[in-house]
Amino acid sequence: MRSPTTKELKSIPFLAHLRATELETLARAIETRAFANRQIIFREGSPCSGLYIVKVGQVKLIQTRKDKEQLLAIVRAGDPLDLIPFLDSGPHSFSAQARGAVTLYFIPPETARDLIWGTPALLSVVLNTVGARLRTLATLASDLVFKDVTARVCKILLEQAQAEGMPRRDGICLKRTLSRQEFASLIGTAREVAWRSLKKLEEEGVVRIERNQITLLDVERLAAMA
Amino acid sequence: MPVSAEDLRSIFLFAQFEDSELDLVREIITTRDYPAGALVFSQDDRSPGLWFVRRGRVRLYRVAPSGREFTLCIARLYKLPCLGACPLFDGERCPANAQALDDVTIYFIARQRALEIAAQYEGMARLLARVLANHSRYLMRLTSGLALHCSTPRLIDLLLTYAQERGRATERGIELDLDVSQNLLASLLGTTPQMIAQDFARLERAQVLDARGKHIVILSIARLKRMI
Repeated sequence: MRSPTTKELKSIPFLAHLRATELETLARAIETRAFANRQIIFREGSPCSGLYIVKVGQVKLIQTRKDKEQLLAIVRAGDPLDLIPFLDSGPHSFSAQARGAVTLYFIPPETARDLIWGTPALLSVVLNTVGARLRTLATLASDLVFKDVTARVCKILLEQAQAEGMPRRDGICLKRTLSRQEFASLIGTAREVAWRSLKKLEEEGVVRIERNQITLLDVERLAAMA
Repeated sequence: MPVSAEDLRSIFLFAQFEDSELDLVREIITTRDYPAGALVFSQDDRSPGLWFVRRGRVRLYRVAPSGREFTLCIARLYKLPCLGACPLFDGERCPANAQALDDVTIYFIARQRALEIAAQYEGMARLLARVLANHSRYLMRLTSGLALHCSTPRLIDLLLTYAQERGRATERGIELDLDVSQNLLASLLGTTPQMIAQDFARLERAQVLDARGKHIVILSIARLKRMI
């Protein structure tokens, strides 16, 4: 596939602060790669395979322990995948899997490492991004300890509403894009437990669950419960 | 009191620094002593800078609205010694509280100076990168443990880490002394002291360890690993 133009790269928030000359260098090094639905992009613990940034589609960031899976996040266009190996030369810190057909920008590992450490503005944005993700991880860890499953369900629904909710007359409508397994894995519990919590919220009139969408009927109550 | 190059190099993050870089750091670093129990910084403080634990232990923890505490990690000279890296770059608020568990000595660099040096000297930038990476990997392991395991495997994982760090091979197995109370252990594992007591009892019944207060003998490390 063809390399991206500097204009395309500039439109990626992660790279927006780079100067034109830095973007030109980056554009020369970047390829685009396509992945099919559910295809593994890289595995946790494997040697760093490169720097990836989502161009089109969604990617699941996953941690696996024995046969259990934790969904850390679903990242979208413009988001970089694993940056940690570029900071400590270690292996990938999580697995990445395509969610639907995905196109990624890709830079081979050695080239990416040289670019990051040779371009102060890029290094700065990498450190910033990892710092922000570290903050999210600290919150995720304490949510797992402090909040029960229902509170975590409420929090995820509110986050989804903020990102992609559509205001309707009776509430905020969310398309049900996550499978039950993905939803549970994002909350950090079993599928049956997450579903039971969601149904309980419906019984209490806080949400309405339909085949393809969930409507948040009482956002204030949801926020109080989160 | 000025910080010597030797003192700084005792913190592994500075071990590979060139002499010239160490001299720069020594010019801007200050020493602070805190008594056991003192708060080093609070959650929601604006990022003042970077702390390096030189002596003693500092726990990083969060508090729920109910007052319940969860200890994210214990920072010490040889493990996760640097605190404050998370809000350093965005200048946002600290995501956790830090409290001295012992009488501690901490080296401190103000935020702006740390960023200036990191922008000019690759050694400091690499140090910050390493700190962020170490903390990220640590927290990812912690969250997966919390999300995917009940308290027993989390306790086993912690005991295995302690065994590796400070265990002594003896005729009985691997012996180690915990340097945390049962309450702190529970706070580290995101559970209650009662659950921890039950987990220890379960492991003793399975004859994989013998626990006498803080003194632990791991009778079979292989069997303990299989129980995760």
